[in-house]
Amino acid sequence: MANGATLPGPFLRTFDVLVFGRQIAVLDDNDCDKARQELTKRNEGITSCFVGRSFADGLQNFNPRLIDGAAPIIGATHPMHPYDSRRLIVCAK
Amino acid sequence: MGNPAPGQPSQQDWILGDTDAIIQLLACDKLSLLKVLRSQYGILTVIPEPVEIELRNLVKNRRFQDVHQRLTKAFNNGLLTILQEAALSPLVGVNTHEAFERIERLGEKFRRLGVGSGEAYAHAAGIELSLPVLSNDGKAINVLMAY
Repeated sequence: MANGATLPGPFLRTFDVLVFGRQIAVLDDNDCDKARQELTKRNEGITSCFVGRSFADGLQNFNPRLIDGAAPIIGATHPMHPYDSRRLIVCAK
Repeated sequence: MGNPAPGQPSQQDWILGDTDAIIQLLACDKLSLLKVLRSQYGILTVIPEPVEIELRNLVKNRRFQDVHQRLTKAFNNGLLTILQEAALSPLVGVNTHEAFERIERLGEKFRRLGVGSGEAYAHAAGIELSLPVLSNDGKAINVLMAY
């Protein structure tokens, strides 16, 4: 495969799961920020828009890739990264 | 494509988990979101065996020792399911052995490119089964797309 592998995606990140929880109101901003702080405390790599910023602030620059198609969309409305266009849109059953 | 067993999500409703993202969800105590995905959305989090091995090794380290019990619980209650050949039939039909072998071969090929073992097999399964991958490692994605 001289031109590389064709990875279908979507490629979800930890923060896609956290933001999804926030979108469906299982978590609030404070819960997500505690998670962000915990990961930071452990020196875990986190998505750049959340580095040194609160969850609520970082969310403005985060285009979610895991989305509940029936809940109000949160986060950045435009792709911030080439892989942001590959999204997983789900619906509760 | 066959139908899933009653009450079970279809294979299309799987997410393939990689070590780095799963350990982060464990570390910030938000693995319960995967439970929500399973119970309310019918989406199962499936991990290749190398990811299981990496996770079990990670929680032996001091850095993640505190999440050892959370990981054990997630395996015991099926929140994290290990990718197995027999479970592939709804997606690939009767050729489960061939599909599983292709995942193994591709995973090994990716691993030899310098990509971590867990992400190599997670992305290999993602390709073979056309499933989303839960992985923070953008570098690995770039390596696999560029080789």
